[in-house]
Amino acid sequence: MFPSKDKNPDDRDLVSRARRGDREAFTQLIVQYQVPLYNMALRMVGGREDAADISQEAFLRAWEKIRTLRDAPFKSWLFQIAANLCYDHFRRNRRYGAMPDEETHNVIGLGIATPDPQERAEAGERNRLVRESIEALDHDMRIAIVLRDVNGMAYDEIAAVLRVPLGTVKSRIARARAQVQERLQQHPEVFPREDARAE
Amino acid sequence: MPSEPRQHDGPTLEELSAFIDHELSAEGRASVEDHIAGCAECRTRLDGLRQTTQAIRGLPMETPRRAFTIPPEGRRSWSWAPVGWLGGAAAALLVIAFGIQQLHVPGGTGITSGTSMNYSGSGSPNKTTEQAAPGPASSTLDRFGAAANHARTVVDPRNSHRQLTVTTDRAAYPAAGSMIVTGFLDGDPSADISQVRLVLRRGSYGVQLSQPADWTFSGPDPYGGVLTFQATYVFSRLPLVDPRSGSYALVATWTAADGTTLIAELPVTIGP
Repeated sequence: MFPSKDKNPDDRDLVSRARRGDREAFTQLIVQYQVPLYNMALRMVGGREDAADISQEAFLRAWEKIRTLRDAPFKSWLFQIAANLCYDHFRRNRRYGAMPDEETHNVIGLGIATPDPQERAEAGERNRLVRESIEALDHDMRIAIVLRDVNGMAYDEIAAVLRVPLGTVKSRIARARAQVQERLQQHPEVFPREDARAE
Repeated sequence: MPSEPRQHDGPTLEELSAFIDHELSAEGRASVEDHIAGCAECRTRLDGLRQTTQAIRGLPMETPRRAFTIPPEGRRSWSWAPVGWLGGAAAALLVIAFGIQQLHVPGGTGITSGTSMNYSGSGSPNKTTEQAAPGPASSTLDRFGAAANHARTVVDPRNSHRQLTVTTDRAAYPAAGSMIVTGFLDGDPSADISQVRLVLRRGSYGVQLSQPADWTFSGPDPYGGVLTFQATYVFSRLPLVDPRSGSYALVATWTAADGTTLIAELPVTIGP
């Protein structure tokens, strides 16, 4: 199910060393994946504490099981562990993840400086609406769109993580985007419709 | 509405979505391109999906406020290492107060991820112009000095919210190893990674390290925000002078937009 070729060749050496018990090599893998993994969990479950718990547990399980990892790419395998933990989280809480409501307006995009207070406020409002629209998706669609648009994974990687056919990935991403779009368009003051823009 | 079934022979929602992702075959892609060239309705649908995709992709990537770790060998339990970058100085004081032995994972090598600093809390009102977490203390370090809290914070004497913190994952390294450097620029909304220089210096000779590509800015907050950066440097790839082993200083320089320059030096040992 996993794509046969490891898309990150640097991982191979680290994984090989980690499989032999090299803790430093695994620590480098943690450093490499902690931000994308945490953000995947954050967009799935909402709260920062929960996302951090899931990330920590995913790394721990990966470390404990890494000797069982053979040809599969580490990244897909790690994200598969984290995805399963997200689903466990949903089952435990029997609710859709609540998006973080604290401080998120204080976070702006990687490498983007928006010192103007009004711009910051607008960016914060846009991000809040987008997060809420993602939150409203069912879990299957949510994780597909998060892996694609937050983590930038290719469809075959997502299929490997979710263990579903490629066509299912394509369908879930498309439907998720359509639903998010529909919700965002309910706020034309923030997200003007494309056809209205053209007028 | 994008979820509506197609009403003509144009591309489906799935095809338009996959088109955005470059996940169509060459034939499929050409077919979509041909169609949208002559169909305003589908162009609008495509633009709407693109706008949505860009909005999602524009969500900020956040940096976890904990360091993720693996437990010492043979232990399933672990302890969190909170990484609250808003209070580097306060945490440094805590580290000083309690000593590194309190923070060192007992019975193990103390390996942590590169962001493993035990920082927490918010800025201390009692900052001094320079506060350093303890340097290497041989009694608490393993062969290569796997200190979990090797850090130095310097504070702008004219603006105590503005601080530069630089940390390394260890105090000492094998020559064949690599060093993970994490830094925080606190208290300046105009902080930018281009304002940072990292040099590994021994005596009067220094090697400028490449600028960290992995960085994020969170803020502004009441104190101006925090820019966090991280990079890994492999010693064997650095043009160090033989003998490569010895005592070095990692020198982090932050020249802010107003010209103020903060310089933090952290001793680093490279072993044989």
